[in-house]
Amino acid sequence: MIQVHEVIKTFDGKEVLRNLNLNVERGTIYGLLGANGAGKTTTFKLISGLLQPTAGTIRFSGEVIQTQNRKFLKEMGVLIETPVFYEHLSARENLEIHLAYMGCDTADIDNSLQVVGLADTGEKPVSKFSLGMKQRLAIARAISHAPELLVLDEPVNGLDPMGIRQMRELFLSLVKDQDMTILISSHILSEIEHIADKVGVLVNGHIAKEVSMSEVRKSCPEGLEDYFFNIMSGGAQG
Amino acid sequence: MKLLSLELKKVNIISYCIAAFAIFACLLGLTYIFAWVPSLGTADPNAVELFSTYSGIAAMGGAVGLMAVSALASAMGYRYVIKEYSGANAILLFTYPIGRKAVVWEKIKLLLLFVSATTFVCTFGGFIVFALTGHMFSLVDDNLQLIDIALALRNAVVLACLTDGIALCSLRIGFIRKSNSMTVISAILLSMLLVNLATDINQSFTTVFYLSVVILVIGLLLTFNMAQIVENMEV
Repeated sequence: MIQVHEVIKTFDGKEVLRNLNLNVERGTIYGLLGANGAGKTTTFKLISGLLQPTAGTIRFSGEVIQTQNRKFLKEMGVLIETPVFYEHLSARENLEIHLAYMGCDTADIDNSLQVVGLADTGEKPVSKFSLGMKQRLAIARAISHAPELLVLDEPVNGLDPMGIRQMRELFLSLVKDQDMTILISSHILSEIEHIADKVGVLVNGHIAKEVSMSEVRKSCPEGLEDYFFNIMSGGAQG
Repeated sequence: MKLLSLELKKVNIISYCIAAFAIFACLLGLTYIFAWVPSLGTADPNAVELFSTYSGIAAMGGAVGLMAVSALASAMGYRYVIKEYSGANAILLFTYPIGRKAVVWEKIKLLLLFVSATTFVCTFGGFIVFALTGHMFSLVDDNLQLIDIALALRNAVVLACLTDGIALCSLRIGFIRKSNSMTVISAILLSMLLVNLATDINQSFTTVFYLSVVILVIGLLLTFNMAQIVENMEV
């Protein structure tokens, strides 16, 4: 579904991503891991067309992603950095605007709010939402137009443990029931371990290791956290 | 049209309508003060002409309105155009499958519609209210004639164009650093440069008219430039 091939991205002459290669298969959950500043958000922005690669190509469903041709964005649900909303409007109104921009029917708004636990917010303006509620609304916005691909940069930030579990179940059901593909990053490695089919570890702008979760479990029974730290310290296993 | 209606939905326009009404009320009050000035006694024939005739009072009101609405326009322009292309707001906008330039132009259309309407209502609308009460209570040593109303209408249209041009120019200046203060200050400075001409609009109409056209065209060209920058922006 997503093929990132030899992508280089520089900012003011500084190489942030170097020869990045990653593949995300359709109907799977890909966890992108890395330390702060490794290039995860930059990678997500490149895949979402918010940045253009300095070199290399990124393909989505076989088509090269170009900033000028934005039709592919209809098939993507994106949550990158801190979500922003029209704060004087309610959750429903924010989703209505989102769906109007996406050129979609507004029929599934109730369902989207229901699955993220915001069905009871009514006319309450988003300015009165807590951080966790805003994060849930951002997820609702990303899934409301039933995209093929979700690009989620730390989507469970600010959620309580129950919310984290709810989102975990939601992501798994989206993949299982709607054949959605999810590219996700999180510093909560246990969450990635629960849901990801494959992980890629980004070190200094480069994928140091790309491996399926079954291989991680086989090679490192202690879990993803130990596997990740092994990669970061340069002692890759498996 | 659909994009315009979406922009309208996103905008919390009530607060700006309240600000516009406040400008209208203050301008109207100021207009009555202008009418009161001749009773203070002055030998200056220019002052007598300016404050003793309906056309003079309308010109003064228009000039003050130009400055006030320009400031409001720049504040609104910052909030609904420039800020939308800063940081996380830009990320949201750029993840929609619509042309970036199209969105910029819809925002500009909404801004210009509001600014034009506000300028027109504050200057011409205020003058009409004043003129009717002034005529009823003989506040002005002048007879209200249809020509005065026609001149006020003509001037309001030109001032609306001028305010639109100032709004667009200040927007582009503020967009350089995406700064609110830069946007507002540049609007105030531009309007200050033009306010003297605006008070003399009846005597120098041709100059003011051509100047408003030039400034509006410059503003539109700067907006084309801004739209092109937005088209290629990386966030």
